[in-house]
Amino acid sequence: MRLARLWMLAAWLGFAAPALAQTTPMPPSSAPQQQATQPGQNGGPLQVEITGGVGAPTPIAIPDMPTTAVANTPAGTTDVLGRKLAGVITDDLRNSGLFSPVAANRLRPITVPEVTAPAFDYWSTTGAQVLVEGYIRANGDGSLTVGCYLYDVYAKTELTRQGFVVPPADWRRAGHKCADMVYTRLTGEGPYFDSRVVYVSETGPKAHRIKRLAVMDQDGANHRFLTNGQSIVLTPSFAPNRQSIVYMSYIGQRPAIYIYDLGSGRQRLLVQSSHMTFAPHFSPDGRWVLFSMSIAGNTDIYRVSASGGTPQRLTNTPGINTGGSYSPDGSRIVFESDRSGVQQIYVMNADGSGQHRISFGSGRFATPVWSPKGDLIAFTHIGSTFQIGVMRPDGSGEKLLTDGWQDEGPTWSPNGRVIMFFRTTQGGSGRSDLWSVDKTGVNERRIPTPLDGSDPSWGPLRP
Amino acid sequence: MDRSEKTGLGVAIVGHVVLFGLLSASLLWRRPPTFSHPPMDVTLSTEAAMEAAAPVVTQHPAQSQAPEQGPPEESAEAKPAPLTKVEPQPIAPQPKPAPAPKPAEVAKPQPPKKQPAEKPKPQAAPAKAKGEEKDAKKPKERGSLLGPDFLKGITAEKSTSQAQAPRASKIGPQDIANIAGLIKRQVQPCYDLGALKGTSAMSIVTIINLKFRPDGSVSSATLVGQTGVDGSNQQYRQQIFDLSRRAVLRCSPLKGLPAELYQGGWQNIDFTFRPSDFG
Repeated sequence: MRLARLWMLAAWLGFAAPALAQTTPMPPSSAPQQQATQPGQNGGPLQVEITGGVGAPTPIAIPDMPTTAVANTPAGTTDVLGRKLAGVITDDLRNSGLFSPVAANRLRPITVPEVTAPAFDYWSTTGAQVLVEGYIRANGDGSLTVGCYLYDVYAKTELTRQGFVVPPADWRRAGHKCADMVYTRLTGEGPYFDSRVVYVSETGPKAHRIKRLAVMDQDGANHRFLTNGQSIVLTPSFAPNRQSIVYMSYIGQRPAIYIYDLGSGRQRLLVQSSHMTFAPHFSPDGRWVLFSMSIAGNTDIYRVSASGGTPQRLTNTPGINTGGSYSPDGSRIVFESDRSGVQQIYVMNADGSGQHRISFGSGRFATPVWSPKGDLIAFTHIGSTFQIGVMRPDGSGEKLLTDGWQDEGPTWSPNGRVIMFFRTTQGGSGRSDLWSVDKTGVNERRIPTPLDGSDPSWGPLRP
Repeated sequence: MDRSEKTGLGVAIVGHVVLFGLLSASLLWRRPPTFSHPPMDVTLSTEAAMEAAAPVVTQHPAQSQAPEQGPPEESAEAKPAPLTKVEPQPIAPQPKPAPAPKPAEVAKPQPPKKQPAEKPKPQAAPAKAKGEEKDAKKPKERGSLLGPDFLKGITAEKSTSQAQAPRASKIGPQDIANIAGLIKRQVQPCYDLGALKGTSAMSIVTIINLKFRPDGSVSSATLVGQTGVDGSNQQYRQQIFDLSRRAVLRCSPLKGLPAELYQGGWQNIDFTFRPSDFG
């Protein structure tokens, strides 16, 4: 898999607007500007204060990408790919909930020279505030080059640009990378579109459910099954290196933890134990796997080297301690415990010391997951229904984000902005689907999967 | 049901009827509630002028109680600045405007020689919002009803109002405030926080200096500074600047600003963008 960045020019070009000649770069933030002057009276500038703006999705225009010369590739001709690329970028940005792409009938075709000299006056009539233009070119060695440019329509400036060289089979990834560039520059968040999700694909009647591991791009494309469904699989979790997946399987009727290697397609048992082991999670550096082991009705959290070996116990209290998840720096672990009588969320140091409870709201709290940004912990809140929520690592700022009948199993996007989870419908059918929601609680939407889905785990960003 | 029950039931019914009657009657002696504080008038000015906007008085002004010395002043009417959409509506008995000043010029009213307590100040008629104006009774909003002979000023009909609110008041040297308010109302709708709404970026306050051309378009935009930046929102600084600047660019050229106040006025503006009301 080859994806090389050709060039990446200054992300901060937004200041060199022709219309805005005299501008300066951002000064250090530590310069508080106290207004000493009376508004506009002693020669100082007039003072105008604007407060509390709206938060509508940003209108964005993404015309089809022209090609330098129409050429055949294994993925199709370059002119068709140029149209599809614009479609991938459009879908990514729309699905984020933060952008409102201009309708296709208001877009007009552009030429290759126009990509670097956009018709700002035209695009401002479409209502777009920002504009994405790009081109596609077939290279002599069989690869594709995709150029991607982002413009501010009103400031009439280029905000950033990137170029990608991909094998034709990976053309969608070029689209995701372009969308990530746009998203990152405009939102200030990290990228996440070029990532994959592993989950449990389910089919069949409730009593005889066939559960298979499946992996797909975050937008549902390039879907494939990893296991054949002969054994039930649960709670997969992506490794930070994206090459392996740790999960629990009922091979031989006893649940145990396995590691699946995406490259070779092989799986191996991680923990040799006569006891039940479950709820595995990789550490951020990929060297450790946290898991739970149940011994004589008492469940504790252990860690084991990702290459196997002797597990080390981290909790040692009566009752159930499970669902461990590392903070992004690997120094702390969030987990759930019923030591107080009901399931609550606790945080401890990576060596098991300093255990303390952080959730004190009504109801029960389960399956905590630390955001890759470190600022929030997502969890399943169990009250009259199951809901997804977030709180800060100190337990403050608790907020429920979803309102389904049974929403559970949160997992974070690589940038810590979006949470994916699974929703089970009310009633006996027990059908479940994958959903995602923005961490601010907006943009709840279903992720398309060929069959039912549960237990999603969002993998890291691809390089 | 035996006899005693019937008697009891009868007594109960009669008793309830009497009680109902008594309670109803007691309400007759109650005075209707009165407002101890008169409602406040709020003016939404849509224009900037050299002269302060007069508040749109929704109450009928009270008639003057005291005789007045001298004739009412004829005051010049402030001229609407060019490019405004609001049509000044003629108000029948208003003091006659002075000969129309040139467009883009705003005539200064002459300061009244005397300031009797009840005398209304010269009004800048065009400063009124269209919609509200309809509600106000024009004939009552005129200047003083009193002439040299105050008896002539008394109308046949009785004043219907007890309002003591002033009919118009100068907001002091408020040209600047008027322009600032007008500019704020033009830019505010374009202040779209987009993806940053609800993030920690909401505590970043951004000050941008913008220079304007006489036609109201932006000639330059310079970041003056940002406050409220910390480790949690450092990543949003560029984005919050971009969208703040975009707010002005999208909602410019600015309209309806008096040309006299360009130099040393709206030519050079520091915009403070405060994403959150709590920021």
